[in-house]
Amino acid sequence: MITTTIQHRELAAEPLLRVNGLKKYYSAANQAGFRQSVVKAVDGVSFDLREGETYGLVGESGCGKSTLGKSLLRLTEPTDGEAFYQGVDLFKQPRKAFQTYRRELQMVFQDPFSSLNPRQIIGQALEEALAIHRIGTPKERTLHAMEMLHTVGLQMEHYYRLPHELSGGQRQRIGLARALILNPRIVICDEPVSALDVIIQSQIINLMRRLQAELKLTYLFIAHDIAVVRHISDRIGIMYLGKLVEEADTDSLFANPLHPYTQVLLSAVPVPDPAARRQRIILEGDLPSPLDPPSGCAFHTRCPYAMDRCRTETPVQREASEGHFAACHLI
Amino acid sequence: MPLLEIKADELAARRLRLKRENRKLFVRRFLVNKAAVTGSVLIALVAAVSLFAPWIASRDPYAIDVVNRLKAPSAVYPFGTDNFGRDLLTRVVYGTRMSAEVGFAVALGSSAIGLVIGLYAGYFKWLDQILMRVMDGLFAFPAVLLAIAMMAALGPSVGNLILCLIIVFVPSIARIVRSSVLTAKETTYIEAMHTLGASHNRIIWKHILPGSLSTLIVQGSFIFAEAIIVEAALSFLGAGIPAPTPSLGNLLSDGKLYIYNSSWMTLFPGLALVLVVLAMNLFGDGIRDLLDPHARRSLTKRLVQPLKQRPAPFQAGSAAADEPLLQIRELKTQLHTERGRVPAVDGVSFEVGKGEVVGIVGESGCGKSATAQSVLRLFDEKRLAEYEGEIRYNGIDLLKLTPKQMRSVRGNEISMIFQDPLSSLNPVHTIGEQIVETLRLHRPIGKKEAWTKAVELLRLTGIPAPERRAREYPHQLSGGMRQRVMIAIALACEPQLLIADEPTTALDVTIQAQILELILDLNRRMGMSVMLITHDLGVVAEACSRVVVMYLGQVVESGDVRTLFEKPLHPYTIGLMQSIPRLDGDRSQELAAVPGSVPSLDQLPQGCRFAPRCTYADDKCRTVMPELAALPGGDTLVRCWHAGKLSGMEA
Amino acid sequence: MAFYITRRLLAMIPVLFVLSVIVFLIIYLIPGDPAAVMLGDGASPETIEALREQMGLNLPLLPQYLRWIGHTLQGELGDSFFMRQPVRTALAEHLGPTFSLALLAELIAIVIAVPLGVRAASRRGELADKALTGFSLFGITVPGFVLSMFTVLLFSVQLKWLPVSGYKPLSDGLITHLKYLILPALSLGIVQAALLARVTRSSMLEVLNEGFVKTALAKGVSEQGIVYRHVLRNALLPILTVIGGSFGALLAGAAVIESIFNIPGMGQLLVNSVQRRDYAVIQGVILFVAFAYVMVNLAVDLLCTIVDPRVRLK
Repeated sequence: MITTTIQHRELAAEPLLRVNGLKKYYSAANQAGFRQSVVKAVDGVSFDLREGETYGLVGESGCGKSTLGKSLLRLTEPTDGEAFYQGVDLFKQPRKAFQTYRRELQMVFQDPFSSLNPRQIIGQALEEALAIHRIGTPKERTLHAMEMLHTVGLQMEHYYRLPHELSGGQRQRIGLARALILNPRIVICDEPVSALDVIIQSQIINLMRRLQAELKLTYLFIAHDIAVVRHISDRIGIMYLGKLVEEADTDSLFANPLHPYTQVLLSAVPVPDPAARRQRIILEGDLPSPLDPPSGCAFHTRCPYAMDRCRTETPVQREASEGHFAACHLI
Repeated sequence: MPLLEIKADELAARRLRLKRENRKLFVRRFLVNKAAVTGSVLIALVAAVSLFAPWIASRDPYAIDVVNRLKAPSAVYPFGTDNFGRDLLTRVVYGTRMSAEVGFAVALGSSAIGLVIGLYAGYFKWLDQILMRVMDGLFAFPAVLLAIAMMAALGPSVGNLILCLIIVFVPSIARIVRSSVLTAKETTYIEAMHTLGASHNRIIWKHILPGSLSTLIVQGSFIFAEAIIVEAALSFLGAGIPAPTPSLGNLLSDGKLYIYNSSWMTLFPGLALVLVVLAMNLFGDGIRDLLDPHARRSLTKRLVQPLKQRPAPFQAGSAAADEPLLQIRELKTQLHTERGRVPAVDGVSFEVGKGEVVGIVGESGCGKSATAQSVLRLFDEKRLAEYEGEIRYNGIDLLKLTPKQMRSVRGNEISMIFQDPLSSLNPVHTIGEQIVETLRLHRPIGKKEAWTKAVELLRLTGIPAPERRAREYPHQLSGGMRQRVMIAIALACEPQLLIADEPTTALDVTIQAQILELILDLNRRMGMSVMLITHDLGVVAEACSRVVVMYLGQVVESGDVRTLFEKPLHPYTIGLMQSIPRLDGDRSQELAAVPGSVPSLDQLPQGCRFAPRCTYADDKCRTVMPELAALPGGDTLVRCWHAGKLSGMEA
Repeated sequence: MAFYITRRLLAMIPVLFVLSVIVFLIIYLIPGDPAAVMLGDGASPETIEALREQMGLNLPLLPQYLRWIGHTLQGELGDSFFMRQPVRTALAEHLGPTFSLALLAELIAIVIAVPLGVRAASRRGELADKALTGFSLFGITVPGFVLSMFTVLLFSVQLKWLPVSGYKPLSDGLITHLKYLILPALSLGIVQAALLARVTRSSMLEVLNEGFVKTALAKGVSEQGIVYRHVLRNALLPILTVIGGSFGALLAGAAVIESIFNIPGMGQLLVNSVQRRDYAVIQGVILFVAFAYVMVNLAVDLLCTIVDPRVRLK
């Protein structure tokens, strides 16, 4: 008999996942094709994931947040760094051994359409996850799949549907179901609601919150919409050009954003309230290309408070207050 | 769980029924596809001839009968005889069989080998390098020449020929399979398979292969045809199937010398060859259409009537001072899609005043983009769209203009910018050229003057070093800068109205803020009205003075932006407001989501379109469509039977 | 730009290498002793051995290849056994007619196919479109040599407008030169045109679906302007690529056509050598043709960089 609910776990003192100095560099062919330039998609990121929490990772395009998620699951091999899970460095595991860890770390993808095999009926897609890990008999897998459908708010009829017969929101529920059917402990969500309409977004966010409580999940929630991230996350990390520039629990971050980039980001979000007077900090210029990042602090080219030091010296993470870190010379 | 089991069986039965229906649908589509049917009929014919050759042509194809040489077609010899007195009908029949056999063997062999090579080369990068070098090397050889060379070495025989041709055609199959694998590898579901821990072989054979199969079948049919042609060419040259074994190529070679007086020796084998090749080509064509219906039936815009002259300047009617710049009244746009006629815009009315910024907001499928495109009549009116209603610009109904007059409105009086600035700019023209084009379309201005003006416009929209940028190409600029260029193009002729279709959706939030600032700045400085289409309520609140909320092709609420946000009246608007996570909202509460999802436009509910999802809906709502009307004492228009009573519900 | 050219040239080298190996190995496909096969049944063992020495067949494989490739790179392609002249000379003599034929055929193909494809794409579903479908089906179904025989039947035998076969070089006058080339070039060109027309149409249709077409519409550009100023140039890339890629097939078709019309080009040279088992010539022709094909594709690549700035500038 397969259980869907996980027994309650004690909140451990040790973090569930400890990431140290994660780096992912790509070599990009230059114009001439001879000299290779390096894209530092993720440039030395360290953070912890505590059991049962939601850690929100926010940043704009090119900041490396998606690459980070993929590196953690070794969908793309990290260039450097460590990821300790239950005392084991996941990156040092040979690929075969790492397969067993795949049951514990799963992913929900952004595009609900292309993340499902268009030729496979939904039920089979769910069962396949179980088949790969040889869990249960075929009949048990079918029943398990149907239970999972119910858990994510769909009907058993949907077992026999093809992806194109479902709406975007329904497909994303399937994406969740597929990630959860293996009973993972950590779910990395890579922009799970960005491709959905506003009302469906809220449905899915509610569902994810409910499931987290029910199944005692830990989320790494990667997104660019900071309002959504605020709603679901316990702690938030802000990324800029491959580095983590600020990290704090959600309320502290919004009450007192320390890093200038965080301040800009928060002020840039359009507020659905015509009466609000927003002090908007408008940045000049564009996001620098990750192919040619600025020296010293990557943000200094656009920072309203940039000093000489910022151009030459890369700032390190400093703890400003309990649990609130920022990488800035102003701290 | 016995209840679950019963349901499972019931559902399994239902699924079986569905499979049967799908099969019937496929057969029906097959029968409608002329190419596939004709091809199949011809293939059956060729197959029959090949299988029943000894009975159709009872004579010996090798029997020489010099007495009866070069006899014209008659009752005794339906196709005539050749230069050795052999019955041509018999020779053609056996030759056809030979061609069919060779074609089949080559198609099968090269498909099988090419499939395996293509699958693994596409999947494993290191293997790709090695294999594709060899494939490319082989591919560099023209098929016939390579075959000639190999046959010259091996010696003419049917077996050698088939082997040769398989080697010749494997690269083309391998390439095609490989590229479909490369495309498949990019899709997210293959990534998902990796996260689940699927093995490489499982992914290749279970998930990638089925996608490549249809291409393989189509390509296999074409290879079948090509192999027959190459064999015929080789035999014609004496490097293929050796005489006296009948092959269509041999027969044509024999006939070449007697073409003047005994043209039947060329005619019948030639026709037979064409027939066999045609059969496979038609079949391949038909199958390709069947397996990929979207490629054919996707609607492409056929453009408005071509008129050679430069568009005549449009005499904008002067509307009265207090009349709105743009008045849309009961606009209906029907689009002809695969699923029939779809009412993308179904009776939409609103106005845009001079210098106003009006926001059109709604989710996907609500018709906001279609409304915007209807104003400029961008849809293909010959094949795609039909309009009803009125669109009054400065008093003139745009829907009644001739194409020529409409062209002088576009880019001139009313401009439009689109969501994705990369795909909206022509990659082979420089930035400057694209701005200059607009200027020279609508103004009598010289090239040099136009270029100077273009640089000015780039400066106006905040692009640094505009002289240099004007000479660059779109791909050299960032997303934010490209959108500025789009705006510069739109502003070139100083339009009175700018339609902005989701101008910031594809941009990062910090860039979004810049672009929004720019648009508002231009609105203030130039007095240019803006119709801003978006799904983001935050953008609406910041930028717009009035808002129009759309749902399923209709306006459900419209009014002043402050009133709308403080006191939304329509349940949909209320639901929308409550769904958004706010930066100042209570994080511990669930978002109050609206249940269900937007139905598709071809399955519209009766009565109020929002009723199926509305918590306050009653029988009247479900049967009678409410009108868009103002509540007593207010300016907001709302389409709801209960609007007045709901005003107690706060956002 | 110069970097790009250099890089493409360097990328050619592995392909040329594989090509040379394949050409070299063709001799080894022969069952039995190549020298014996060439000399025929009546040859004495001494004569055979002498030929083997001359061809270098007694050396082990790798030295033989190196010797061969060394000679080839110096332009020394060996001697024709049957024509008693260096392969190099034979190639040079036969190059002209094939070049004229191929060029004329390609021109005919482009002149027919591109306008047809453009028209069919902008008038989808109408007469031009249907004509194109029929025409392209015709082109890929009727092989060049069959078509040529039918045209000879019509134009030479029945109507007697054009000569049946033969070849007159350019030095005899342009009109005469063309009179002898037009039927063969037409047969080759029509088959080529069928393929090209199809590619033109589908490429145009794809580009018509791109976003910037809507932008151009919104600017007030006319249909002609959109088709010719905006769409065509973007659609050109795949068309150019196919021209390059099908050049090989064109040459192959030329080989067959030449033997029908008795044109003394490379094709006829090859066919005759095949029948006589003149291996040095066979190798020389194949090598040359493949090399020419690779060069044509390189030229097409470079043309693409001119047309599409995205390739040129990063």
